[in-house]
Amino acid sequence: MSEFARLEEKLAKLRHRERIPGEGRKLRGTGPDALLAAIVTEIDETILPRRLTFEVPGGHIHLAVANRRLQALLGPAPASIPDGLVGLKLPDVEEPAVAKLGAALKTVLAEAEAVGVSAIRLTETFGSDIGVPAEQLPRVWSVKASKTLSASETLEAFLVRLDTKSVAWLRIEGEEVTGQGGPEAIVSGLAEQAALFLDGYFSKFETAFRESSLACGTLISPGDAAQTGLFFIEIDTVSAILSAPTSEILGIATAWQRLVAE
Amino acid sequence: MDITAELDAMRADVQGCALVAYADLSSQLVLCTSAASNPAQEEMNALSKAAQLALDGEFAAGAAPSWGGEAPAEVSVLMTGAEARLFLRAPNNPTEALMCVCAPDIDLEAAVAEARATLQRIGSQG
Repeated sequence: MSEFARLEEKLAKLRHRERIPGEGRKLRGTGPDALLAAIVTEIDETILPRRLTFEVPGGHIHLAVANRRLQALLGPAPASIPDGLVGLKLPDVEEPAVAKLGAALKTVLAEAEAVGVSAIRLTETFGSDIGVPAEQLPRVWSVKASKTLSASETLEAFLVRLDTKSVAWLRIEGEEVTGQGGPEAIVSGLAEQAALFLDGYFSKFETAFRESSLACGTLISPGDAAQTGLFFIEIDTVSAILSAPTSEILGIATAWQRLVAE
Repeated sequence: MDITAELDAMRADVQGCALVAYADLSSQLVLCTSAASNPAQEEMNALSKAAQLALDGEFAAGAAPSWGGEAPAEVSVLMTGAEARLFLRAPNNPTEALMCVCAPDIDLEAAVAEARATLQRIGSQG
């Protein structure tokens, strides 16, 4: 088993044991078009198979999403959604139900000021090639794609700017390591260190953070300038663990905090 | 200058710093506090628990192998979108630490430098 496989196995266990399934956030927007655009962004940020649940006036919208594709509207749905749309597999953008679903969602969102969103593992099975790519939804739903960076893009943009001569990092999405950077010798040991750190992190999360959904960074460092410290960062469902010299780690943390703080 | 005055001075010098406190990590007891408004006891208890966790507890134990595990954690920062909580171990008394609650966009390097200087002055007072 590789070091990354061990970390992924640990993450799967830890997240299921300690994290609240479907931990929620709020999407905000002025009007149904903006909220629908925010939902498209959520779809675009979802790679692993997930049931995305949006709390809307009059009930909940459940979407089956995987690989940045909208696969189906799942039940139960608000009464205003036509029955024929619920549970219908959406093979691609040519499916007429896709446009109908967009119109129905706009109707549901007309009264909403904010939409709660949460995600859990998808239990329904769809083919990997089934679904409408998020990038095609703004056109068929007549909404403008959000110009703001997604959480995944924000993290990626931050990580690629780091000095990879001295800073090592692993990018973690769900239970998978989806990227790495920095000196190979450090990266190879970082997965093992990450598994150890995250064990304590998830078990004592509520002691460290009062509002769990807002947590975005944890830095632990020794005093010796010749040593390295650890920095774990989170944004929505993506995260990264960094190993950086103590002389650089506070500057890195400041840059991250300024990027994502409210 | 007594400890309270040192904490007051640090809070005034570090822009965006709302609270500075001096605590005993082992007992999780807050020894002295400087704050813009009087903090609730529950808030201080939570802060000292977090400091212990980050510098001596599970967080520190999980991070220590990344620097070889010999030295204790000296600095920890817990960040949210709303604030940055900074913890710095006292060099002369490793069971005590400075705790700061700051704005999220604070300059951490400057804040840690100021906190180190504050701890040195406190330590030199015996």
